[in-house]
Amino acid sequence: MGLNLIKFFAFIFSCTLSLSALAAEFKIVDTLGKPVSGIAVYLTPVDESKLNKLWLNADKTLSNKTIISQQDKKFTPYLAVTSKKNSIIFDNKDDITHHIYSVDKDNSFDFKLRSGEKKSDINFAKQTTVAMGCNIHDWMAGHLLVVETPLYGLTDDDGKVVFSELPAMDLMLKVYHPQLSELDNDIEINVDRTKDVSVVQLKEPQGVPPLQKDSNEFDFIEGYE
Amino acid sequence: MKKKALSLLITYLVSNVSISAEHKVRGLIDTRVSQVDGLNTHVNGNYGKYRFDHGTSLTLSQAVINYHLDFDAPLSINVVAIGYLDGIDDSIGISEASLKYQGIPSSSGVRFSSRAGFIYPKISFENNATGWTSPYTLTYSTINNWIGEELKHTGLEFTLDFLGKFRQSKHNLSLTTSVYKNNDTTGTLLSWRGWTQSSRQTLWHERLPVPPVKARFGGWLKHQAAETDPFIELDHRYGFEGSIEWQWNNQVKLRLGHYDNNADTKVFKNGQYVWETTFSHAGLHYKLTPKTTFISQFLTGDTLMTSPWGMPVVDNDFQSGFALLTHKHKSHRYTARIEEFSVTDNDLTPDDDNNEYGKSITLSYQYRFNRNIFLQAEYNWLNSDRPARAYSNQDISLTEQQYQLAAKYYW
Repeated sequence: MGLNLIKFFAFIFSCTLSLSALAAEFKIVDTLGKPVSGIAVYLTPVDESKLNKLWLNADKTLSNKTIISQQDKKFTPYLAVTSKKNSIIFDNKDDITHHIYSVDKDNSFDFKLRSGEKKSDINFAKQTTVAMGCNIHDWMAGHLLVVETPLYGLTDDDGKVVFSELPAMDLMLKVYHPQLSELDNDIEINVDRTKDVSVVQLKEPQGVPPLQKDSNEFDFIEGYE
Repeated sequence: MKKKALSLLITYLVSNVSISAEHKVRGLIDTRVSQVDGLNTHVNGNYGKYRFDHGTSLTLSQAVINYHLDFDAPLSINVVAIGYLDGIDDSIGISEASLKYQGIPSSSGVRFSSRAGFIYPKISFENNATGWTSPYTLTYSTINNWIGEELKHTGLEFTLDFLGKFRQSKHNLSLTTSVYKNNDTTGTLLSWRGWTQSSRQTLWHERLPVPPVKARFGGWLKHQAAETDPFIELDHRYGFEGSIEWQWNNQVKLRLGHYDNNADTKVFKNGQYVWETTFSHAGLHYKLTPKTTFISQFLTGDTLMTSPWGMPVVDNDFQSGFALLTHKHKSHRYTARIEEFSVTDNDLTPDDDNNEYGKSITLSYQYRFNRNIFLQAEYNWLNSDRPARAYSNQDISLTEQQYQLAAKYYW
């Protein structure tokens, strides 16, 4: 009951936002109005049956590869976003082995990735979120959002995602980040095509992502602790 | 049944494990100039607290080779060999050898792992670099030096990790327990030599000379061999060890543990007594800022050696604690450590006074020349009262000092 109420207010709130918002450039700001980087933003057709049409109109120049690097013993980016039609490439840029895993019930995997190696045979059939870790370096944490639409991106340092063109159909904007509140991850905003830049303000402060940093500042640590 | 299980295991290993594996060889070369103002070293059975003799020494303090074989299955093999060319006791041999299994966490973040072999119990917060060396100081604290000299064992260790990140929590918890053998004489060196500050880990094959305690020469300890064998198995009983570690946000680690070698002190073979040694330990690793870390460990316990008829001969309590602060700024690392330690002799055995009380200060400066090469300068000051030094006509109350310059190459 409580959740429904929250969703109702979220809906009302998003309707209010949509009145003043949205076209091809989207900007995410926090509760204080400051831009937030690294947030996944994606657009889906309001009429779900138009998803195939959206793919037919998709920008063919866009890369169909999503790279999740392991660099400086971190998942880079911390949050990656991809579509289910993209291939995902795990790219170990460190000079050590990583043992990457996901424990999600529907998408569990684990593999050791040697220094300089890539792996690209992990695919997802539908929209999902995947939490990943490294079984050698416990402080490493990475997340992947798989969406069903070709219109997606991560906000840059100015909090922006830019889509070069939007197809002629009613679209809905959604956002995702593992450290956003449930309320913010449930945001659904109808895209207003009359605006060049649309600003979306988060409703609650974003949680702090994990540091992804070893507590030992030394390159030759061997896991004795 | 056993044969079937064994053949299944071999089939599994052959079919799954040997398909793909990664070999990795890492190591350390540690050369030093050391100047000791004190007694000759305990490594040769004297009462000196440091690992080098009085005067100046130029040494290859340690050459470490760490061979790691990592299978694609969740198994790995780790072997550490160390060589010493220090003019005190030149030696080369195996320091550690183990097989490790590490499972994948469950969806709630629970992970099982296990190690089997000749291993260190998880106690030290200083010795976490290649070959169980310390990234902070050239000499280890008295606690961890004792662990390096007398406290490895052959055993089976089980660990359950509870990783908080799967519950959006910053708290991790880890429970470890071990059963082990091959440490029946643990406590011998701590009793007769007291706490020491070195950087020399005992190798599998090594025997260490016992200091000239007067009771060894015609007294109650006359059957004790001149050398102790730290990793011998005499009573064929299993010892136990367990610890709990709480970790917060990768910044704070707190570990509490207990160790009991569960030895049968009535066993005596070839000059080697069995010592019943138990202790509790606590450790804190606190990353105060990204550049500054505070480490502290405390250990308290007791050790007992009896005659084959069960009469207490050596009955000691021991305690040691240290606090270490290390700060890294660009290529520079500054470390300071203070310690306090004691041994309390509770038995009435004549000519075998094991009492000791001491304090020490260590100041260390390290310069990172490049990724692999480190230059380090260190000063140690150690003051101790040890009545047993009178057995070799040395001062009961004594201050020893050591200056060291080291070039270390890690790869």
